Amino acid sequence: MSNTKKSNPNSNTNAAIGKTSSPERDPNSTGKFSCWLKEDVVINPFDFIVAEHIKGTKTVGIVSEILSISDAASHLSNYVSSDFGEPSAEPYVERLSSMVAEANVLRNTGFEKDGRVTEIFMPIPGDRKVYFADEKDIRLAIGTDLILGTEIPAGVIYQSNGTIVPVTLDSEYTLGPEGSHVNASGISGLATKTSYLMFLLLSISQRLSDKVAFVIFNVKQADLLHIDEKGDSLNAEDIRLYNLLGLECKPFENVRYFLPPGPGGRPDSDSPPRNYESYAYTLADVYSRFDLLFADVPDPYFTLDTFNTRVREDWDNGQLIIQSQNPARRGQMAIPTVVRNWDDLKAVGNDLLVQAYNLHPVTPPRIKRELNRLTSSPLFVNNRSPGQVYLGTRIRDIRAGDVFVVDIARVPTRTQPFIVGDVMRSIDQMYREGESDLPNKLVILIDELNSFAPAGSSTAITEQIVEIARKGRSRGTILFGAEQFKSEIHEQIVGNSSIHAIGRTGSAEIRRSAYAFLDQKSKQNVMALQKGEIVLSTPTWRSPIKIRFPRPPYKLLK
Amino acid sequence: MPRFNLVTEIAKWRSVGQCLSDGDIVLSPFELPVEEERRGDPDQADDNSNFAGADNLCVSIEPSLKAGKKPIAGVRSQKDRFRFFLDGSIRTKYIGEYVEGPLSFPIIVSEIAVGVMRKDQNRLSPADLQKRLYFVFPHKDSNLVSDSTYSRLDEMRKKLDQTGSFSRIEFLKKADVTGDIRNSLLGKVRSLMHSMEHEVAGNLPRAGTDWLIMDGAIRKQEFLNLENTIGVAKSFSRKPVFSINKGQLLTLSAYMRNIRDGERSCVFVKNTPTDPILKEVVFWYVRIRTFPPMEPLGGIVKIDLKLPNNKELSNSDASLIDDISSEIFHMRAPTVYPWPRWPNYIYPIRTAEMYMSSTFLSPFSLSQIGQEMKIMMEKRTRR
Repeated sequence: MSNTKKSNPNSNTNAAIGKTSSPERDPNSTGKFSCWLKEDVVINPFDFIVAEHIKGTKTVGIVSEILSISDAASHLSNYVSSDFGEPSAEPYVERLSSMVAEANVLRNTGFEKDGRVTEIFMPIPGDRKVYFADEKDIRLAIGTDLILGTEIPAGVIYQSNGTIVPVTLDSEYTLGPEGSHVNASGISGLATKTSYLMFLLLSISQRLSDKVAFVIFNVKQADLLHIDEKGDSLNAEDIRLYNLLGLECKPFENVRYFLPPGPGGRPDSDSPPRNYESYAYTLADVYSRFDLLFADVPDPYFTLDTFNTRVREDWDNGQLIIQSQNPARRGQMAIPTVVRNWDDLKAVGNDLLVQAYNLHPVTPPRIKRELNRLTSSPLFVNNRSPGQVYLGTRIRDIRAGDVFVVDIARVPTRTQPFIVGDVMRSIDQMYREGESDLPNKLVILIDELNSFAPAGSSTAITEQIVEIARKGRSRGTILFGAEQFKSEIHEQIVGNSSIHAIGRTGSAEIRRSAYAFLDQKSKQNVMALQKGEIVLSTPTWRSPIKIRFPRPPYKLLK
Repeated sequence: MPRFNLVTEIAKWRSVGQCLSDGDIVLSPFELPVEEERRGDPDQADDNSNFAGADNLCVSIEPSLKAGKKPIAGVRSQKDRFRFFLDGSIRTKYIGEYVEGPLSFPIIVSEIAVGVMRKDQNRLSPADLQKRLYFVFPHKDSNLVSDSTYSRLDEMRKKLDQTGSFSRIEFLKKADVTGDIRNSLLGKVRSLMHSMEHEVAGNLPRAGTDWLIMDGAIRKQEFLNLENTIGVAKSFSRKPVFSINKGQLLTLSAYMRNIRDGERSCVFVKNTPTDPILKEVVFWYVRIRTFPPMEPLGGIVKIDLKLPNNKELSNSDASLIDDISSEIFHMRAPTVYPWPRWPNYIYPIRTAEMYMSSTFLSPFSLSQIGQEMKIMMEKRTRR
């Protein structure tokens, strides 16, 4: 209904924007409340509102749905009103109508009795005034006062009335031990999921540089190959947000890049950074990790597994001696062979392999065929050149505050999982061994996680990543994963991630079980997110919230 | 309107009960206020009284209207004249029967509301709302109440009136009792509502050009003092018969059968009015909607207008009536479908009804009034 004296309800955060409504057919409950809105109030899903409650308390909620209701009993009423379906018919007056917002209850301010604060989660009665939540209300709603560890800036909330509130995550729920792992998903290009994870990494690096180190896998062009160089893409709003969040507008520090070798001794990377090391694999580095190398090769009868085991067990002092086990049985003894590098291994005779490892005659040619396929890139060398490193060894040098970037963008797709798996296993190994000067927490960022740990997979690489997700919370190895479709990554990774960042997501994907932690209305709203908007869900919030974050302060290649 | 406070009002209801402590109340076993349903359509009943008996002939004062009807849909002037829309509503609870020695009478309590909507451009907003709760008792001249009880009730009435209370007391005089006492008490409540309607209408902040529509007929002499006011009734008497240009007499249904969407009837006066109101009021009918299958009076509204010199309609009066009819016709949308009698409703009046109903006491609260009255009666009996 019109109001002859109109003020702008959005201009003053202290003015009531409506009142709660709890009618017979749709009463307020412990989990939600509804309110009608004053005319001209602009409110959107994910806005925080606060309603007066009993005992002088206030309840903060987050808008999940906005309904436009009128006194028309049905669509047919409107059809009849328009002269039985005549679009040009003009009504004498507008129908009685109102906007009604539905909000999920987040938190109540509570009342104090006998020195104890008790929150009220009884339903909010009708006719209680409702306001836009201010910064204090929002910080209460997201439990800033309950943070156990360090506050990690995680973005800002833009309220429709212009209020901007910084959001922080609890390090205890991000990096363990209460909860750990962050997973980001969303449509490619629109969802800015990798950018968001990098923003979180920057926040953590500035807040906990003495405790945390980072390993980042660069999987797309040169996106993350200049993160220690100052960028020039920040605008005034970005700088304002960094200030608001209490972060410095500076790129990452202590960054070391590891690039794959290409032909001619040059790195096989798009736009290599100024300083880098090249990495490569000799047989001696990875003889015990053939399960990772052959991860995508079907092995229904475990013949490859036998071969892998024998190589691992028989390797001694930098070499592998392959000799027949039972020469008398075949009547002719194959000549034993010494294997020190990839070429040696590929040259071992098939008969010898059959006799030495008790394999079926068709198996050795198959093993060698796969070995040729998987180790044909310059990554696999008989002897590393000066300056080349093995990542599994180098990773042991990482210390708190360090950022290791491993570039795998131009590595053949079949080899990328091996590199990731090898690093992960090395990390797993060193944290299992518990070396004394290890960083307290090691954050591993893997983009396109679905390529390395797809849903339903049980390969060695998937198992390796799942192991980190399963045990990393207590050990301190934290996985930050990003992918387009959450449903396409291993369910244990989804289940073990305490924080989910979701960018715009399609309707078919959002209906899958991987998003079961979102209610139906949140799912609807996720489908309509804009570029740069992220919906964040944590175990400590009763409902997901929408945030934005500033562009990175490091150099971005256009 | 005094601010409503349930606790304060409960104290008053108990005080009213205290006035009745010489007798006892046999409470009604029915919890819901269903009293209005006993009486049928009150608007129609009011209008029936205008055409009671054989004196029901109405004559046209538009001799130029040979066909007995006129298209008005397209004659609406650019300017909307109707600014205010007023409606009154009643919710009554039969508390029970009061018995004091050999005397007895029914006790009813009615919540009366009068609401007004204001129209600016094409938007409606609330303009006024007045509410009262009435206990209506028989006057002592009816010999249904003892002098001492009446005296206490009258004292209480004065006290409540002086303080401008939400809860009030009124009496039904013997002269106003016709037939069943309960129906007569309801009639009294209705009369109180009409008085409130008049009071509210008279206090509206109207500019000279602002017109008012009152729901129903122009029913009281006082209404004739209101300038630029019409009554629009969605239900009305079927009793009148019509004489058009001294032709064959037509019953209402027979006449309305030929009035189509966007047409109005001739303007009529009662041939031999006895009620002073009818001497000054002309009326006519407008069909705002036809939707077969529809009874002949479905979609018809009856409009009352004060027109003192009403022997023959002047051109300017005819033009005014056309304009009014046209604007009323355009009020047919939005509809209130599927509300009962929806084809006869005009939306702003329905909005006023909703405005009032949203503020009524809950049926539960109303049904508890008898219990509250008894609390004080029983206390006094125990002493």
